Formats: sequence, C-alpha cells, structure tokens
Amino acid sequence: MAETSQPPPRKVVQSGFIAGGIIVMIAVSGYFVGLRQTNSAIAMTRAVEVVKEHAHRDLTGASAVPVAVRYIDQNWSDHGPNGIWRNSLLDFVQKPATAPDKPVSPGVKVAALTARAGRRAYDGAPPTVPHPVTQDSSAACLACHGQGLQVKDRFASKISHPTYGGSCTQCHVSTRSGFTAEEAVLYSVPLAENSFQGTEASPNGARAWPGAPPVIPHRTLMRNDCMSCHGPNGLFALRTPHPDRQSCTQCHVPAAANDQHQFLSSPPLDAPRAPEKPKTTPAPTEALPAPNSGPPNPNL
Amino acid sequence: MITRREFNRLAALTAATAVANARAQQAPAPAANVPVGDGITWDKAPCRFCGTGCHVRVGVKNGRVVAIEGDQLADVNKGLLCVKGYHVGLALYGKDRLTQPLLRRNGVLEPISWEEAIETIAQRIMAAPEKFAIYGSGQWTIPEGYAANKFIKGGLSNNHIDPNARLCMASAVTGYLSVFGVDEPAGCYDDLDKCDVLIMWGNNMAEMHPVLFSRVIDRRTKGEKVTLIDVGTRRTRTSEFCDHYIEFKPHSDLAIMNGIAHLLIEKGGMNAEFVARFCNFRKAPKDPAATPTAPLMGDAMTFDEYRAALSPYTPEQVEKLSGVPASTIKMLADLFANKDLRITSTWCMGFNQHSRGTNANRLCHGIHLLSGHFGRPGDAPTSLTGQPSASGTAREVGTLCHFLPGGRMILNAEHRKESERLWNLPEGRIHPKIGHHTMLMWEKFCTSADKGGDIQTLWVQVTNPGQSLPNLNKVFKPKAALPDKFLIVSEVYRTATTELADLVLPSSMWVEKNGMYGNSERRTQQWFRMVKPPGEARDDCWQMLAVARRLHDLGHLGMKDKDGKFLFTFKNDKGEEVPVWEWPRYYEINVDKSLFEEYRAFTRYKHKDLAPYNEYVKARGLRWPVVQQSDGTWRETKFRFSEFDDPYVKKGAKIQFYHSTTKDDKAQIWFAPAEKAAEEPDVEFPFWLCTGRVLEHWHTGTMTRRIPQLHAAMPHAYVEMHPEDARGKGFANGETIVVKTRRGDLKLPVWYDGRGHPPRGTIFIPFFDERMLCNELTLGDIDPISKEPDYKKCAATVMRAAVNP
Amino acid sequence: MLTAGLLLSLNQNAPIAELTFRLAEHPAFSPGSKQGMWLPVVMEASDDAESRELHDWIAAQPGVAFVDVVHVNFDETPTAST
Repeated sequence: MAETSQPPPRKVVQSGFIAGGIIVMIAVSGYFVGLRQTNSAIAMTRAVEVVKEHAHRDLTGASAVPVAVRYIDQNWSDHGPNGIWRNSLLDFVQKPATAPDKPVSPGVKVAALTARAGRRAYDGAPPTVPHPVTQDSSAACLACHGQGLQVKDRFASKISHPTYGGSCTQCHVSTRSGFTAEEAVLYSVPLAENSFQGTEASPNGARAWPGAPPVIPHRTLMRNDCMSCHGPNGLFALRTPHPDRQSCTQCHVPAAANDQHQFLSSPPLDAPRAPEKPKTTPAPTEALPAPNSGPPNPNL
Repeated sequence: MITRREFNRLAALTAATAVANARAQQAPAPAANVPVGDGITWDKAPCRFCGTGCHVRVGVKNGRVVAIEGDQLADVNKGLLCVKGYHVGLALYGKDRLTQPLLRRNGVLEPISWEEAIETIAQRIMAAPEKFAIYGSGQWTIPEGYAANKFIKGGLSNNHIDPNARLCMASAVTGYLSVFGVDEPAGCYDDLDKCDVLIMWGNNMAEMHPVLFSRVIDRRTKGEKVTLIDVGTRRTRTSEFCDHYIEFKPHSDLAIMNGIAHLLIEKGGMNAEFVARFCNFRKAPKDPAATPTAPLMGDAMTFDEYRAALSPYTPEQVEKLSGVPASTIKMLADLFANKDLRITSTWCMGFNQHSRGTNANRLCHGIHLLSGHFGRPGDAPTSLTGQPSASGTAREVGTLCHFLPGGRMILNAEHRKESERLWNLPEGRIHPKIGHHTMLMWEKFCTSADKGGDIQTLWVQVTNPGQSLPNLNKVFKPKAALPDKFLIVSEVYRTATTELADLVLPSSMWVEKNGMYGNSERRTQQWFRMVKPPGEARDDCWQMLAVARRLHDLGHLGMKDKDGKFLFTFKNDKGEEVPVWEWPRYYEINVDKSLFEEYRAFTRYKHKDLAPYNEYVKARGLRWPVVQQSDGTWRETKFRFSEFDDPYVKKGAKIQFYHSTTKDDKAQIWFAPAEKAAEEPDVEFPFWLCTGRVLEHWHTGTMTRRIPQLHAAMPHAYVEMHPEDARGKGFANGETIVVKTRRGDLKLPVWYDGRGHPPRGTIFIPFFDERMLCNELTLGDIDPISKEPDYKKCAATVMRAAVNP
Repeated sequence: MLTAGLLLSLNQNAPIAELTFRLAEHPAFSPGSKQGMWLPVVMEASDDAESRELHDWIAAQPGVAFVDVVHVNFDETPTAST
C-alpha cells in the first residue's frame, strides 16, 4: 500500500514532466481547434425557423415530412471542425455530368456513335485505348476504369465486363505505342492499307410504339454492364435519361437479331449442314459466285 | 401591318423552321456500304492465329467478313478472345493481297495464268523428282498437309517434306515420344481450371497465349486461389501477375530441374508408389550411333544410378549454375513434394527452341512423374503450340521428313508397308530413307548443286521462312545468287520469302476455304468456307492437287495407285468421279471431307482416333481419342492415360502408358546433364541475345502488321535492354543502335523500361518486323535429337549507330 | 399569352398528311412546312398550365417521335390590334 501510494521521488518528477507535457499539448491543440470551431459553431447555430403553434401544417403530402436520419447514419465528420478537410482523392473528383433529360437529337447521337466507332474495328470489337499505357503491366487500368471516372472534361468509362478483371491489354491495345515521336517517323510505316469494313452499331433500338422502351440495338457479349456506356461516364448522347433506374434489362431487351444465346442467325448446331455442298451452306449462295477459272491460257 | 400576335407567331415559326432546316441538312444520310448489325450470317471457325485454338464466330454480310465474336459455346475460350483474335477478320483485307500467279522474269515478278504456273511446277518436278522438296507449315489445314504428304511421299517416293513446326515444337515431340512413347500432352486446358499451382517455364503466356492466361487469372477474380510462378530469363507481362518470378541464367533451366529432382529424392518428396508402379529411368545412350533411334530412346538406368547422377545438383550448386537462390530451388521442390497440390506446368518456345530442347522437355516431364503430379485434373506437364495446327497437321498428319501419317515412322518397314496399303500403293513405293529436316533442306537449297546442294526446287506453303529461319544469311539469302534453284511460294501477301521467289501463287486463306485445325490440347476443329478469295487466289490444297494431276497427265507413274487410278480420286454422292483439279469444280464436293475420311484410317494406330467429319461440323472441336459409344455417339477424351477418362486404359490400372517405349506400360524418367549453350557471351560479344514474339503480332507479322489497330499499338521492332546497360553505353531511349553477332548486324531502336525487362547482360528483339530481321543475327544451332534450332541464346554486342546512316 | 415554336421530330413512317391536317384544325397550333423528318409548329397558349397540356397532346400524336421547344415568347399584355 505504502509503496504504491508513495512512489520514489525521482518517478514523481518524471511523471510530473509527462503530465505537464500532456497539458501543454492539449492546450495548444485546443487553441487551434477553438479557432477552427468558430466556423462550424456558426454553421451549427444558424437560426432555425420556429414552427408557430397556430400555423396550419399539411401532413398529407409525403414531401412535407422529411424522413429523419438516424444518428448512426449521419456523416458527422462533415460537420466537425475539420469538416472542410478532404482526405480522399476521390473527393476531388467532380460530380458526374448530368444525363440528358430527354432523348438527344439524332444528329448529336450519330456524332457520338461515330466517335465511338472510331475506336473500334467493328461494332463489338474491343475498343483501342486513346492514350498511352504502361507497357509492362495492366495493373493501372482499373484505377480509372474500374468504377469509371471523370476529371474535368476527360471521361474514363467503367469496365463493362468486370469478371474479366485481369489482363486488360490482352484485348485493349493503345493507338499510341510507347515509342518516341522520332521513332514513329523513322519506322512506323504501315505495310499496307486495309479495306476491311466492319459492321456498325445501329443508332436506334426499335420501339413497339412511340414511348415504348427501345430494344437493345447492339450485341451484348462482354457488354454486361449497361452503365459502362449509358451511365454517367459514357458519351453524353448515349447516357440514359433515367440513371436512377437500375435494372436496365427489365425494360430493354436485346433485339432478336442480336440475341447471342439462341444463335438464331447461325445454322442450327445439330442439324447437319450438308457439308457435301458447302456452296449452299453456311453463307447464302449469292455470296459465293462460281469461282473464277482464270484467264484462258494461250499456251495450252 | 401585322398584329403583335402574328409577329410572335412568325418569330416562333421562323425559329422552328430554321432548326428543322439545320437538322435536316446535318442529319447524315445512311452511309452506302456500312453494314449495320442486322442481316449478318454467323458461323464458327477456329482463330487463324496461335495454337490455343479459340473458336470465333465470323459475321459475314454481302460476301465479306464484317465482325468477329468470341464463341461462347467453345470450351477453349468460352466467349473470350485476345486482341489478335478480335481483329482476325481484318487479316483478309490488306489492300496488297496477292491476286494472280507471278513468275520472275528478268528479275521481276510478272503476272501469268494459273495453267502456266501449274505447268511450270510440274515440269520442274518431272525433270528431277528427287530434288524437289516441300516446306510446309503448322498453319496448313489438316487436309492440306495430308494431301501434300501423300503427294510427295506416296506419289514422288520422296521424303523431303518438313514443316516450319520443326522450328517451333519439334523438341516437344521428341520429349513426349521419349517419355510416353506417343506424342502430345496427356492433359488439356481443363488442367488450367483445376490447378493450384501453375508453373510457366520460359513461357510469356500473358502475351503469347493470352486467352489461356486469362482462363487462369480470371479464377482469381472469382475468388479462387491459384499460385502462379514464372521461371524465365526476362521479366514480362506474365511476371507481373505471378506470385514468384524466378530469373535464371540462360540455358541453366536443365540445372534447375535437376536440382528439383535431386531434392525430391533426397528430402522424401518423391512419390515412391507412383514411380514404382508407373515409371522407369532412362539416360542418353552410350553409343548414339547404335541405331538411328538410339538418341531418342536412350538406355535404361536404375533408380540408384539416376539418384547418383543427380547428386551433384545440390541447391547450392544449382544456385551457382543458374543464379537462382538455393532457397527458391527448395521452395519449388517443396511444392512438387506436396501431394495435395495440383501442379500444371506449361512451356512453349523457351524449352523447345533450345539446343538441348529435347532434354528440357524430358526433365520437366521427369519432375512431374517423380513427384506423381500427373494424371489428375490440374496435374499435368503440357507444352503449348504457337501455330493453329502444329499439332493437327505437322504432328498428327506427320508432315515431317521422318514421319508417315498417324505417328508412323519412315524408318520402320512395317509402317511403310501399312501406309502403302492404306494409300493403295504398290509395295516399296515409299522411300525408306528419311528426308531432309528443315535446316538441312534450306542449307541444301542454298548450296549450289556441284557442292552437294541436292534440293533444286522448293515449294513453300503457308509460311514465311525468309523471315523465320535462323541465321538467314546462311540458310536463305544465298538463294539469290543461285539461278538454277527454283523457289515456289504459295502466299496471301508479299513477304520476305516472296522477295526471292521465282514463282508466287496467290492463296485463299482462313474462311475463304474449308479447313480443319488441331490445337495444343489434341482438339480437332472444322470450319466451312464463308467468303470468296480475292481475284484469282485459290486454295493451297487445290494447288497441290492440280500439280499432282498435271504430273499424272505428263505420265509420272507415281501419281497412280496400284490399280492405275489417280492418287486423288474423289467421288460425289452419286458415285461419279469429280475432277477437282479443275478449279471451277473444286467445290462441287467437299474435298476436305474426302481427304479427312481417308486420313482417319491412319489415326487408330497410336490411339489418336478421330471421329467422322460430320461430328466436327457439329462441335466446337473434339479432343482425340474420340471414341464411339455403344449408343452411337462420339466421346472425346480429356485426360489421356488416366483410367477415369481414357477408354484405352485397362480397368484397375489407374494410369497406363499404353504406348510405353519399354512395352511395360511405364513412362520414362530421364536424366540429362546441364550443359553449356552453343554460344555464350564473351569479351567480344558480351550480351545474351534472345528473340521472341509480342502480343500484337503473330509470328512474322505478315497478317497482323496489315491490321491498323495492331500496327498502331506495336509499329516496329526494337531491342530491349536493361536501363543501366543502355546508360552505360550512352544510349538514349529510342536511339537507333547497331546489334551485332558473328553472323550479321542490324540497326534498330533501343527500348528500356518498355514492354519487357531483360536483366543486365541480356538483350531481346521481337521477330515480327520484316524491316529489321533479327534472324540475320541468330545462331541456328540445333538440338541434336529434335533438329530444332535455338533462337533464344547467342552472343551479341551493341554499339552506337554511325551518325549518318 | 404564350407563343412557342416547336420542332416535331417525326417517325420514319409517320402519317404526315393526317398529322398536318389535325394540327391545322387545332386552334392552338399552326404547322409550318416539313423539312426532312422535322416539322416546325407554332403553338399558342393562354398560360403555362395550358401550354403543358398542349405539349403533352402534341407529343402523343401518332408519328411524333419527340418535341423540341426552340422558341418561346411570353406576352404579358392583352392581345390587341394596334
């Protein structure tokens, strides 16, 4: 008992220093917090309109009664003395641009689709990357394209097939190689032009009647997340006017011609396709005219 | 005077009309020839490029390919492709497609007719059939390779036929043959779904077999745990995904595998029960000259001898040889010692293009067998192929100078006799001597006749040796100065090979013809012709048949079977013979089907049973042996030699190597020593030079460099260096430098901190760029057993390019 | 009084003659001349609420894909001839 209540004097001195230090620290930080407090105190003590006894209150409209937020759901850090601090980079990101509140004009839409087609060999091809990429790894891709991102006027679209989350550069290659401009001048001569003409996205989905939800006018393989293009980080003209509705395929279904599950446009798998006569299957006969027999040979 | 109301109405109408006008003018009229999403006919085909064998769906509209899609019904890729696959349709439409036969006259390639072209070839062969050779390809379809093989071996009694696959997977073949007695992997891609550990031996799978790589790493996205290990000589995209990157000194992979085997035995990690029941031990023969097959089959050795032979390969000694820390060797050995893990090994050119490639393959099989990591799903040593039908056409059809179809050997009199019977040939038609393998064939072709160059006419189909052969200055370029040599090239574009060609034949490619391929996992695939080839381009197979028929008409007796019938006689449904050598009638019947059904008869001998053609029409490929069930259906085999799946394994055997070279149903565990490389860096040439591929380009780039998206992403070749090596030499990134070896020199830009990261003292050049032919530098020393050259290791030096190049 | 210039975007196979006739008959609308797929229309309404009703009506006409408002004039003074 005695030993504990009366520690050796040296320890008393030491504890005194520590206690003193703590007091000074609290005082100093308290001073600065106090300075900051002024702001928030003003904010928190703004005048609240007093509800007068005799005022008629209509409680029938739902909008008249705000739902109280539970304390636990309140984000108190926004109200504290350091409420204006931002400790996450994501907070610097601008709020996504608004979606069009009505369908955009066809011209604007076609312009958007043309911009989109410029990065694809055909509708459904993996888009090329319009910026340089790190050559040795695709680890950085999902930093922006994982959830989608907007910084000023640059949009990073959200990945539309998140289960393939690994090797992005397997399918998406940059249109700007990692080489220097000097090298590009020296060596980047293409071997030849290419005359491939890929299929393009049809601009509009058919509607059963004006006002009906349009069908999905494009194929959907590897495009599982509609919000990748039609969400807030897609091209403006392609954004949905109702981003609050989450279940896209509840109302919008793939056009029958694009259905990739039934394979309607394929010859049926199990039906023998008369392989003895490939001229008539699988492509239409007119696509395969009689082969050219070559010019007559004067020597024979 | 107008009212205010009228004024307002007019203002409103003017505004609305102005907008309407603007819109009406701005709205683009639908472009004339742009195909829109509907009206497309879709059909299946395997991808034209690598050996993975993804199935694509090809969208065709108005006679042109307009879209490509991953095939969701395909087991191999399950709807996914890589960037090359997604753009494979564009390979058909380079604007400089060859569209007419060209003959070199006074140094210039001039258009000629097909009749003249066929006549020219027939006359060359007629003049000296024994000096004619065919250099084929792992991109030949199965029927094309089969027709060429029958034509030259069965028709011309000449065995000078070899495919470019000699440069690619010959060491894998000798590996499988000397270990299991039969070629090709026992496992399949399903192993990638089941393995706990994937070891990639010198195998940059993320770039070279991207779809298979995704198949593994996507398991991680789904929450599964799989350990990836990259054992290599250069840090790549693959390394970035790996749990362990194990860097070794070039050529020391043999020491590493011996080190693992040594630890397995000494630390009790060996699966003694498995080894006792299913394995023998084997070593290089005392007298390699004893029989022609001695180096392949080797001599027996006892377990104690095997153990003693491994005893020098202690972890510390291996560390000294390979630069891999002893603790890492122990870590690898511990993985193999763990019987609960499923371990899959994959490899490709790192092991195969190796002057000890056969041994590298053998040792890898050896550590799997020694530890018992074999025969369960996820436990497999599997070699990957680089070409779409290296397995199907080169290995199975046997378009090699020492093979006959179905795994039969030229040197075996029984096999020759059986092939003659199946081909209905008079006895003794097939020449008993093996032909020239690739390197020898080209050396002989590039040597004048008076100095022993006994190949005078060489026909190249579906490949580009002018870029892909090693040491081009020795085995390709000398042709230019030999006017009596005649080079025929069937191609779709002008290439480094057509540069020296005397006759160029325009070919159909991919879905412009019917075809069949065989991929890395024993899967045979089929597709139909979907579009017309451009101009006068015609099928490679037709070209071969037309020449055969012309020879027949000129009176070459070999073109007739023993009943006096033409070797390639095909009948239609009504039983009438169809002269398919006349191009307009070539597609009157399905020649592919006729050739394939004939070839099927060869496949039972090595239990590589194939189903009837029509089964492949229905399927997205089937893995052989495809065995008919009692209900008439055809069943493929995923795991060979394992009782639970392979119908040829005896009940109760668990695992049976029924083609064992020792005839006791056992596989061979080989011992092979670590040896020095054929050429190692020295004072004069202080760098290791490695060559290889990149994701965007397929092999020599003749197709992929004509695809704008791929070209933009990887526009030219480069030499990769370690940044400190480059700075030490004073090279700026992107500066043009000279790389020099004892065989040639080459100017190209230096790239550090780029795609790959070679360690200090190593440089790397991709071989896709025909303007910067790295094969003017490579060594071309071959593995003595497989005859496959080493492209991965030679000595080089680098220097600043002259100021005014 | 409210005067608006509307721009109707028409569907591919809109019954144009019928639509124009119906608009011309309607006291609040006067159609202009069609340009391509677009029809300019003037709309007059007494107040905001009526203009909304009219807008909904015209948007519901067969053949009308959607309606753009390109011009509005609010005239507070009573309409009178000068």
